[in-house]
Amino acid sequence: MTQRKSSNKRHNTVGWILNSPYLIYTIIFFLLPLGWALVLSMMDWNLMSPDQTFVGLQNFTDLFKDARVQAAFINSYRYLIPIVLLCFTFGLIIAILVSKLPNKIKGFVAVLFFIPYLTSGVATSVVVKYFFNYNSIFNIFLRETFGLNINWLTDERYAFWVMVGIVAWKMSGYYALFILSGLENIDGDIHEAAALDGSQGLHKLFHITIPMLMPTLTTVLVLATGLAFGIFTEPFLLTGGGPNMSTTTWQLEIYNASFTRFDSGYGAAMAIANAIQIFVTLRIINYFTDKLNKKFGY
Amino acid sequence: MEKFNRSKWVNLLLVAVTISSTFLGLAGTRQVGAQEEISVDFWTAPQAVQYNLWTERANAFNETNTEIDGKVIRVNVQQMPETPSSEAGIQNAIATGTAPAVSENVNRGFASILAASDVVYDISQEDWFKEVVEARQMEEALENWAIDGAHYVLPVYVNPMVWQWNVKGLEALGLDAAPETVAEFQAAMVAFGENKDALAEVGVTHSFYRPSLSRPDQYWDRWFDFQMIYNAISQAKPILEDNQLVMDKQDAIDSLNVIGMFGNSVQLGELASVWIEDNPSVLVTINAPWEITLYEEYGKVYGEDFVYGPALVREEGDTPYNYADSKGLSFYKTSNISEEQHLGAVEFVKWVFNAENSAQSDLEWLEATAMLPVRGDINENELFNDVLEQYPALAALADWVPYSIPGLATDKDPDIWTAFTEVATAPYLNEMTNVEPGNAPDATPYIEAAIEAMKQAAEVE
Repeated sequence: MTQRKSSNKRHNTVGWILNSPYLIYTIIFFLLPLGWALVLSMMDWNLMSPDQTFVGLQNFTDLFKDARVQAAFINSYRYLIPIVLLCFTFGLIIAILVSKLPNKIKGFVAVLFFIPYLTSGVATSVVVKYFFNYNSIFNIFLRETFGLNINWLTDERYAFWVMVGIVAWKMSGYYALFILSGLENIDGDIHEAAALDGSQGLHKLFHITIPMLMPTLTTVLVLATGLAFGIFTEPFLLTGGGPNMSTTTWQLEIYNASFTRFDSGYGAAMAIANAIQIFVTLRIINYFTDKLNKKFGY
Repeated sequence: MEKFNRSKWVNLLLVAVTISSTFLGLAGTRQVGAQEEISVDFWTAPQAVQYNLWTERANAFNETNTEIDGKVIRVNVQQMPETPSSEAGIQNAIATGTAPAVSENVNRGFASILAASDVVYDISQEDWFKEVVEARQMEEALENWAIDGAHYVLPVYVNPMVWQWNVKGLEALGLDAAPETVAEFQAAMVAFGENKDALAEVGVTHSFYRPSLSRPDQYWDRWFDFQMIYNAISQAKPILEDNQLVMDKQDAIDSLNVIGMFGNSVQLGELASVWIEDNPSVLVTINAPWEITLYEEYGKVYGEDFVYGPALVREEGDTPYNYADSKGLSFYKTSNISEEQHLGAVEFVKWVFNAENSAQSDLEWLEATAMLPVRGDINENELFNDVLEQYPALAALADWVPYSIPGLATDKDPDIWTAFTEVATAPYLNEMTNVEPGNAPDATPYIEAAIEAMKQAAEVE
């Protein structure tokens, strides 16, 4: 009995030792900053002044009156819906198309679709800026052919969709890899059985393929949701959140509060509010996807 | 055995602590050979040209082996971080105890934030500072730099922000000189609407290029457009004084009306580069003095391709006050900087700008950056003649230096201009882009809203 206890203890120690790099990493890079952000969010402090005024929950109550925060809150859902739908749809289309390719070139083509994900957001934004430049070939073509004079990045009606387009273009290929891997894991017998039962084309897609992909699609949905809440580079470089805050995001407002207006306490409060919104939204999405997965037997 | 292991760990920890303390202790003072050294960190702006210039100066200073209490000063030059911004880089350095003893690239607004945080030295009463002010004849310019009667910055350069006109565009409108008064400007805008064909022949399709009018995150552009216009129209009336927003409402309305006069001819689409095009597509922009060398590279001639026009005044004969894009040096007062390091930094700056060296240092600055040093004798001192002859655009700007007013002395400067953009210029754009040039929509409701928003942002009455 004593020997068993001692053996368990030894195993526990080994377990702790083996896990310690990750635990230390989590404590240093996650728990400590989180704790620090919580403390900071209750202060009126710019990180420089020796005066660190404790303001309790005032930063949080101020968030409710801040038009920029309201815009970021609403925009995060405005981004979420089209980005998830577009990434999901294009990811699925790309994956299905690639899965039909001969094995010899399948891997190569899959990598081609993955390239936008690897491209830096800064480089993409610079290219997009030139593409939508007033004197770009594209805009000259629109003006001369259709008489359309569109300020893509300064007109509220278009700027938001430019942002959505960039993110969807960048991420669809990445999510396609998840879906492709899910597709490859569907047993050939299932497709054969479906064919014997007369299930073809769209019927097979909606009644066989997509239900079989549910766990993968759930992962893609959760990842795309996280992505929609974390948009920063594109509006930061292209629109600054404007026009009229139509493209602003939480990350951009946190950045502006902390590093432009040097209101670090308020910026930390924003970051925590943002984290709560992401957590609640993901819980709701998980609730529905769990139900859906259960329905399909997962 | 367990006891032995524990004491072994404690010993190891002690050794580690001792070694790190030794390194930390030596961060400020080092013993090299027989002579002790004081290591002074100097941060330059992120641009390579400034880094190279200050490195050369630091090397030359280090060769003088200047000492404090028998210790030799060694200046180490580093570029300040550019991202997320140079100001945020300084904020981060102060927060993490890695601030330099002295840095350049500090404007009046940021100096106010630093001063309010008590992390920079007030140098106004220092004898060396008075000597530098005298050597550079900058008494007049310095008046505009005071923050609550104190000085936290030694100004290095000044760019008077004014209008930059397209000469071919002006000629197409039948004008042989840039407008100087609001009335002349309005007439030019009306003419712009009536002469679109003539303007198109010289490539001009829009009157004014300013996409940032709708971008609150680019609040600093309000210094260069709105504040520049306001300073001239109001004849340098203050905007903020003694914790009160004192911006003159009528002058502010008239200033925003000037922007409104561009009407639907304003260019809000992004352009890659305006002034280096063969035929620039706009009539006027706010000037960008830091691009003067670029224009020269592209063969653009001042007076033939572009010309600077003064900030618009209400009446002929009024002073064309403008906005001073001006930055300088600040000395940091943080726990990681010892008294010796601070004094070392002062010795270095004194050496660069003392009576003997200041003119040569400013000439080197002018040659390297093509930005005007803050000197009262820039147009009179023969030393600068060659450079000003090489860059006539700079010589033209130098005339407006005495009327250049730096930014607001408040730590809420970013908040004020962010709020102003959100409630004034951005929504006003929607209305002005529906009218013909020369017919500005009434800016009154936008300025009224802006005054309230600015008060709230600045937390003042």
